[in-house]
Amino acid sequence: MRQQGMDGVVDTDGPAATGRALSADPVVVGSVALADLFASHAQRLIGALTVYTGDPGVAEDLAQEAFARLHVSHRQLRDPEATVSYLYSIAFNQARSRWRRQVGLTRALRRLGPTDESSPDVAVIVARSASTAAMTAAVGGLSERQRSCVVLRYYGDLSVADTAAALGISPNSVKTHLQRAFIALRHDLAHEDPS
Amino acid sequence: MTDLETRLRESFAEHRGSVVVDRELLDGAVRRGERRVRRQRAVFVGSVAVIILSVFWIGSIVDDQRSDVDVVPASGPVRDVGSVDQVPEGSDRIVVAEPDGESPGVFVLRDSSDQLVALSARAPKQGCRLLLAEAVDVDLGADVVFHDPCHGQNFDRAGLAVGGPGIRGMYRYDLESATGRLLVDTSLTYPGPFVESIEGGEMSLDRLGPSDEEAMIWLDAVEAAGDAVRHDGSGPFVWVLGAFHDVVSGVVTVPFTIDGLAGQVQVGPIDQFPERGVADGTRVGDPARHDLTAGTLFIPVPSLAGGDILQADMALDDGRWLRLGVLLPIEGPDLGDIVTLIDVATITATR
Repeated sequence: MRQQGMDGVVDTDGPAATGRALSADPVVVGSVALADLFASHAQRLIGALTVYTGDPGVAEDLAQEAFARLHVSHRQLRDPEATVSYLYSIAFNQARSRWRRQVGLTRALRRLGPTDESSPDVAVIVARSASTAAMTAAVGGLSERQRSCVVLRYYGDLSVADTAAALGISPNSVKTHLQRAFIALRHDLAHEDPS
Repeated sequence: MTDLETRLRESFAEHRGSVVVDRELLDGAVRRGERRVRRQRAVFVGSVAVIILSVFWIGSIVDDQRSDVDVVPASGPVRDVGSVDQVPEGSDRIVVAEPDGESPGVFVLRDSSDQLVALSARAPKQGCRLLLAEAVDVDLGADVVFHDPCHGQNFDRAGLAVGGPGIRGMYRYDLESATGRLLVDTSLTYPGPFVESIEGGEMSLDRLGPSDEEAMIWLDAVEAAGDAVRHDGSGPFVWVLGAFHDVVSGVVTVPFTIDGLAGQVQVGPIDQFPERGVADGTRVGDPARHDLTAGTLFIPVPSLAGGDILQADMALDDGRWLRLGVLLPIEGPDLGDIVTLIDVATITATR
């Protein structure tokens, strides 16, 4: 099976790397094979989740979960065109659940008395240049909603409408969140990076 | 705004270039998905089977009323375990039926009021196979007829719990003996009766809902209930606040309070506790925290897998023991399995 890697990074090894389940019966999501969808979108999705969660390991796990769910529900997908936006929607819903869960756990533990105050979300920034590092750090500092809008829109490269669909909010809210995010980002970047 | 948009796109493009995608990820996702599809199918097939069986069952009730003879000892859920002559009135003999396929073992005997009863050989707590007391080397006491080797729980002739640590009785089945055969219907399992708490106390929480929304609601309810929740007052009281399974690290955290003091147990793969690498549930951790009623117990285990039952026994400073049990979701660590369930939270007095 050949992989058409849009970003040219996914390896295109022979059957050994392809896995039995795929070579035997390619799963088709909408009109796209799951493997092709993975080849063209996995890198972008994992990157976006990394910026959103601040943890590449968590991002990989979330991305894998999203593909697993897509695999389960692909027969029920009505609109093949919406597949990518659906993929992001699954992944970011999971990411948000995880974030909420952490809040709940922290609250429960705090109620129980003194515990280690180390934050469960350790920011690991994978970046090449200082400006990219500053940008991802600044995005990481945004509120949850603003962060997801920025990441979906500019990392996932979804349209405003698709971003709205993936997050289950209206396009106008997306625009508002983006606008506020920009104000915050500009403020942050001006402070940290005077150049 | 445009320059910032451009900068965002550039930064993200550069960031994306540094992301390495492991091809294994997709294979794993497909495996995970396949497993769920199989599970869904199994649930569907199971539901259909239950519906069909129910129809037969209702049909059989109607049949019973029509003709009062001939209950057919069908293969399947109704098991013919022997003849009534094997347990005549006043006898203390026990008919033992070995496990058969899906059906667990069955004990048929006469209780203290000479009624025939059919008890399940599946222990009410974690499903260990119950032993006959006479098969156990130790003298368990005159009343004790059955013994659960996993919990040290004893039961009397009627299947009621005798002594600690538990209070739940043995599961039971419907028994039909009109034809002279002992016909046990294992398709319906009835929970055994509870006895009053004997020493210490027991609290068990039902499974939590599968979604984190439910879990959050539940947590809120727990917080609201707070310390107002009381046991029967006869013994020490443990209140478990839920179990959190971090799918990324694999660590299960169980916060609890005992007699109003808080603590937590963490159970996880050895490599998650490198600096505390002591196995076998030995109490480890910061020496300052040996007062466990307000500290953290770390229990490294070689690995965690779905369906594992984790048990933590802790000696408290006043000589009592606390036992916490956690059952991991059967399907294994999954992002969907947000809150693991507590199966047991028992405290027993030392003897």
